[in-house]
Amino acid sequence: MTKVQVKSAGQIASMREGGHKLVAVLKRVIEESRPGVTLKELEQIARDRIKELGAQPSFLGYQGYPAALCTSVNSGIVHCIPDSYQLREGDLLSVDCGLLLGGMHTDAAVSIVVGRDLHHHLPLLQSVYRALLAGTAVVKAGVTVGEISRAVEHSLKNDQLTIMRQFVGHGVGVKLHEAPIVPNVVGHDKDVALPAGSVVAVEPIAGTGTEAHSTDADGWCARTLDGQPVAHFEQTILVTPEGAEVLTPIHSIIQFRP
Amino acid sequence: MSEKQVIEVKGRVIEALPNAHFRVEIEGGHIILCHISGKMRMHYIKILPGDTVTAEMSPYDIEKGRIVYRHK
Repeated sequence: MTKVQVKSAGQIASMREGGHKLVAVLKRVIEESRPGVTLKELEQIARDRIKELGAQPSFLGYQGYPAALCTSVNSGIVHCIPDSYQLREGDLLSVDCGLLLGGMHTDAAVSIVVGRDLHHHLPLLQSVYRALLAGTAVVKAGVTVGEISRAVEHSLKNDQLTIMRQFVGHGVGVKLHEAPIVPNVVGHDKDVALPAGSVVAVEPIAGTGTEAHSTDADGWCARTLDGQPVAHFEQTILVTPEGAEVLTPIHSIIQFRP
Repeated sequence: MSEKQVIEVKGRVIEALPNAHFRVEIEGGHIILCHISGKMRMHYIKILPGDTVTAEMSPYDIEKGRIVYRHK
């Protein structure tokens, strides 16, 4: 594993500004996520908003990914490319977005229910968000990745959710994905200590069904085989001596009380 | 955007092939082509059909795996 990068004050300032703008983009996308709206329209809204804010989309062109957003609906887990699917009342939509500003990336994701919660997805959303908060709460200078993984894992297992172990959080900065890997179960990189000034994206991904999943024909979208829904929350966190500084405050756009 | 990482699966060895490769049936009924890990090779650990093993699978190729542990 390559070394965990410590960011300079200038880089951190860029990420702070980028993080705020990213949350503004996600807010706009969520506001527009109503029944009848297509995923392609949300994609266009995101691209326009990112451009207005003077930034660039991190995902577009990343390893060939063709969009600025990942819009994963219901059984879609992650990396679902926005298409002409029309959102329906009760859908569980996970929106993942990255923003590049001042040479630095920030990465965040929120899951929402479109319109009224016809299929009772709210408990799933609350549980996965709680796991994100649990992982964030243990972050401070010197914490090991394993401690973050343990906090997320325990929180999700406590709520009897199935963790999608194959998808993990990661360091973020000059590149969208940097060292270390931050898994949602204790394992990979568990003994790696995070120094003050490093930045990680923690992203619990869990669902109500089984872990078995397949990848769509486009080679990107991961989907559960049993059709059960999966929720995904992510925020970019700066490690400081006192604790965590959330650079992408998604708490301000969450629909529900955690 | 989330990163992908290797996933560990448990399975049963169905068939032994040349060059220390094995056909393994993993949970879910899928059959994957595995090879023995270097560490196991170094310690002369034998694998026979019928053994239960742990294999690591790359997210970039779901047909293949690397056997990292043979269970009692």
